[in-house]
Amino acid sequence: MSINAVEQCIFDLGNSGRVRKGYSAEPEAFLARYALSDEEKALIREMDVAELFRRGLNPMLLMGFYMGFHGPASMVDYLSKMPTLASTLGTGE
Amino acid sequence: MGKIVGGFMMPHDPTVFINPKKLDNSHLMDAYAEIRRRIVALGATSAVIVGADHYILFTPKCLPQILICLGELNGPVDQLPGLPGRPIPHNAALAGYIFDHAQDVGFDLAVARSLGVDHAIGAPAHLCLPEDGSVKTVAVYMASGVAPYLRLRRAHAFGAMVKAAVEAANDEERVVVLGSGGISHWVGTGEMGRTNPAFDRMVLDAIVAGDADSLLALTDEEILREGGNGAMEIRHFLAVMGAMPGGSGEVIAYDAWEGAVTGLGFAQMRPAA
Repeated sequence: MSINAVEQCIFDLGNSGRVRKGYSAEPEAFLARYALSDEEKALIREMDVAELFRRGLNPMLLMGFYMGFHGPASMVDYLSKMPTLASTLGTGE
Repeated sequence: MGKIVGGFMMPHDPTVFINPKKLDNSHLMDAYAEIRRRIVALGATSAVIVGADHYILFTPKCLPQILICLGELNGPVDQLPGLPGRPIPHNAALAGYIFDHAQDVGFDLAVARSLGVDHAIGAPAHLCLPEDGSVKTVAVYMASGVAPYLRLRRAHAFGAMVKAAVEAANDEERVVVLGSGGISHWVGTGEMGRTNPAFDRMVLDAIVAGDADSLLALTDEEILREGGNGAMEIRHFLAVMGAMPGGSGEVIAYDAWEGAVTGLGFAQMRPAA
């Protein structure tokens, strides 16, 4: 697994509209630039923010990534997908 | 010899400025203005503002534990209503002096030669310092938003180091240290929107009592559980407290405001007499 490479990829996509445009045009070519497993590429393609969070990605980064693609109004949708921080601390949802 | 003349804590929650629920936020803007008034009354010449990057400025390729900017500042780069991006008057001489002192005493700081700050530093720079540029900023970022997090004790020790540096300076700087951060808040997790007023009160009580030890005794897991990932920003408050050993505080305003996602605390620290 290469969670740090996933984080770099998500950072790049979350912080630049130009990068997102390039990704949207050729997602496989874009993802091939990063040291990602096929499973990780799928998580990014599917924008599976919940699983990415469970694997340790920074939630601020995931929020920017999701809203970068879906717009500011997608906050409610994003949060509906997200596990609680408490669930990752072993204190239950 | 320079002098630390005061410290302040304030939030930088973007929803205070975006105000999506269109609620009355005037009491919060008044609290920022009150801090500005107090900084002017103290005759401050410079402000060391400590904030957290929100994974906007620094990338997974380079995540500084503590960074100081030695040169020009602008921002916030993530512009918010009432907070336009613009140059921020900076004090390169003081920043350089603090950096040199840090090197001498074993603090290896990352540096930026110039920096576009985010709202963590942009909000207090715009709202808490005089608009005429008479109080110049030294910008410091701590690893409070992105793991690996700065150790709490290191944040506190940084404040003490800044105090020693200012007092060793050869000029008459009157410095305020500003800790920019929310108290309880969860950012980007399923709890987002929740606050924990009991945790907020515990933090504010520690500030009022000048009791850094009770905050230093917290584990990161305790902070994350009770205050959320955003509460890791209490590191910035500890930096202020470290610069004012034996000092005590006053809460200027507090509100777990329904229009925001953060326990919003505004406070002042006064140096020991």
